[in-house]
Amino acid sequence: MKILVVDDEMDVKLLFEQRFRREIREGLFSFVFAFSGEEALNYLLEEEHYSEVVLILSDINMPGMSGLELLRRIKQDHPNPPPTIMIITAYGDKESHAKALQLGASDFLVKPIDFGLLKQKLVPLNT
Amino acid sequence: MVLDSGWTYQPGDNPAWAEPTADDRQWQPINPTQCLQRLPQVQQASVGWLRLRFRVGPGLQNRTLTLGVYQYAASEIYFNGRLLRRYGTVSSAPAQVRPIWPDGEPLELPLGSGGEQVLAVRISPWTPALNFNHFLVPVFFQARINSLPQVLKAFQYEATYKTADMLLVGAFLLISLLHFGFYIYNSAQRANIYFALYTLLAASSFCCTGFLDEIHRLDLRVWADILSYVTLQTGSLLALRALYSLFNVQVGRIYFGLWIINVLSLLLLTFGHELGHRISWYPTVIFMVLVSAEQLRLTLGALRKTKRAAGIIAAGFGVALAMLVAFAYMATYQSHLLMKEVLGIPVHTLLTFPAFLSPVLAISLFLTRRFALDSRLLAVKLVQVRRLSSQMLDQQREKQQLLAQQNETLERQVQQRTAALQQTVSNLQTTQYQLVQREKMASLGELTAGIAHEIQNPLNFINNFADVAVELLAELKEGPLAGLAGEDKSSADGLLTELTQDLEKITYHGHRADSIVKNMLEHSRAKAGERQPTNLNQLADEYLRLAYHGLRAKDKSFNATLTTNFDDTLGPIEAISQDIGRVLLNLFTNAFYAVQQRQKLGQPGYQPEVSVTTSRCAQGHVAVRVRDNGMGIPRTVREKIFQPFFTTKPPGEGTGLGLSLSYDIVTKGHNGTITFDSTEGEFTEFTICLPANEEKNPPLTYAV
Repeated sequence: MKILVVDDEMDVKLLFEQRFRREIREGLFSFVFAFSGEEALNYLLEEEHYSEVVLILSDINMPGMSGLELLRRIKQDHPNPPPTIMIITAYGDKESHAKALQLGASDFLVKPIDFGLLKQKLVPLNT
Repeated sequence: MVLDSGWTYQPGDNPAWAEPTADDRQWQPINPTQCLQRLPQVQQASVGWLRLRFRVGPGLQNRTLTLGVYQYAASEIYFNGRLLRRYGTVSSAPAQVRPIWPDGEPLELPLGSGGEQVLAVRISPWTPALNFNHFLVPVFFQARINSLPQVLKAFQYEATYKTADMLLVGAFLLISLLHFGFYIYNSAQRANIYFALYTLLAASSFCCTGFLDEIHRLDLRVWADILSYVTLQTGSLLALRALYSLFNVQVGRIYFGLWIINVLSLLLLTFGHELGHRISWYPTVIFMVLVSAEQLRLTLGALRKTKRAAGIIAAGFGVALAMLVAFAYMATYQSHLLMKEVLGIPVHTLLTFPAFLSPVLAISLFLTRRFALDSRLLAVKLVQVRRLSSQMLDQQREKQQLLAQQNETLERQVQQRTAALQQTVSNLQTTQYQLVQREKMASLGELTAGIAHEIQNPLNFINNFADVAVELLAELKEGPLAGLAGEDKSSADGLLTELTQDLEKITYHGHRADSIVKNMLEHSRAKAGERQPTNLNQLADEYLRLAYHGLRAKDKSFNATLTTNFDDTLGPIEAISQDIGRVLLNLFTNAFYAVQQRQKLGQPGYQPEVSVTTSRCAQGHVAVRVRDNGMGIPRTVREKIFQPFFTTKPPGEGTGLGLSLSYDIVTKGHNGTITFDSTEGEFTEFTICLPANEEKNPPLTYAV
């Protein structure tokens, strides 16, 4: 299962790779990282990439395009959007939560990321 | 007996003509009692002689006879050749002739024994520069022979006339003086001055008439005579003027016409000898008749205008008229009656005296009456004016009093308003200060939230990487290091254990920082709490005990007195109870901390006490007071205690966010106020004031 992680923090890549090192080693998950909304969109524009990506994990607060804007663009512009898009944010406010769900996010996670919880949510998707 | 016949005249001068024997048979007969104009032969000669021969009847032989002479001439009287009397200076030079008025002075006639008596008069006519009327110069020479009783009678009459004249003069002068006085003291009544002048002129007229016969110089006598008419006529005009003034009648053509007639009639009287002897006094009579008619007209007019007092004047005129009519009647038909006497006074005088006096007295009475009435009216008005002025004074005083009262009221009101204004100003200043504080707090809160976020991200990495590192170390231990043996293994195990310990420390402190950051974020995170009816008493009691036992759990030796003063009438208030609970908990924790600190100082007899009081305060608000007798808040830090991260506790014991958070909850979350009072080393008291039953506000949210 290919997961696209969108976050402006570079260290997220290292953190995810170490946290999910077993799953990656076992070939359960593979991660692709984009450090801005624009970069994520560009990546998805390539057809082969688009069809591969099953899950998108995106931060909300990023320079340039925000996570919610990215969510809207994917859901509106693409005829077959990836089935699951999860939004991760440092702000657990209700407004953002409601907005994300309204735009079609599958789930809403609050930073700091509880990787145990995230694993539990990701494993069923891989079947 | 007037000797008016038998006289002869001869111009020229001869002393011998005085003798009885002188031959006068060729002399012209003459009647010298005529006026000079009718005697041209006398006029032509400057000196001439008159002679008269007469016989005295046997009955008069032994009687004493007197001769009286009336003349407008100078003469020497000879009787039977003897010079009896010289009147003035007879001279052939006209410039040296000095005529004299003898006024019938009685001269005794020494009758000769012979039958025929001869009267001879050496005479010079008086030729004045002005040609006077006959009326003023009626005779040339008149001689009368009277017996002694007749002379006496004449003297007596003359005395009576003079007395009457003088009485009139005196009366008129007095009246004149009186009305001058009236005029001087009240010049508004102009009738008085006219009347005073009239009576003065009338007095001088009577004076001239009365003393006329005492003036022997002829020119003076004539002028005095003229003067008596001038004053009489002019005076009557002034009397008329007084009536105009009295009756408020406009002076008009009639009045000025009468003045012209006055002047003309006086000129005619003085110089109009052409009119003839009989009618020479008509101008005066006509004038007086006209004046009387006008006076009558005015008086009747006044009577018609219902000026009742005019009746006095009418009565005066009436009396005068009756007297004059009676006088005229007697003079015409019963002249002997005029000479009769009543009480020794001739009827003549009895009639004329009141005729002259009564109109004057009437007018005087009228004026005096008016003066008196004016005075009385003035007196009445004076009383009225006095009363009015006293009333005015009273009113003015009242007004002043009112004004003073109003001033006082105004002053008081101004003071009240000023006080209210000052109160408002101070309220405004307080509010402004609070607003500034609130703004400061708000920006600090936002800043804090921002900082918290920025810190949270790296903190996540620290915690996560520390976690992962521990996992990796575990894998390392189980994996590659498992192959090691002996010395290396134990050394590697030791290092791994220490590394793991360090990473756990990192994780521990990372979580600690995380909890601080989470607390900080409470400031800005949307409150999930709902407003609900909250029992403040219960809430306060609950949290007081919670805080106390929380501290006791850490410090078993700690002990404090808890006092609660709850207002049981306090109903539930609309509030977010967990937020208020957090505030109360914060305040109680601080209070217990403060008393604990003071207890540690070991002051003898110190008994820690924390109390909580609930009460109602300003309209629709309730207050919760948390008081402790702990350390107190140092003056220097009072302004900072609501600022985030400000704490007096040692590091690790307080985040410095408690009061800051409480401040936000009370002011922003509940529209309340939080204040404190403290004395260092004695006590601290926090007061939360909350609206009791305010309408539900939508929960405030803070988006960052």
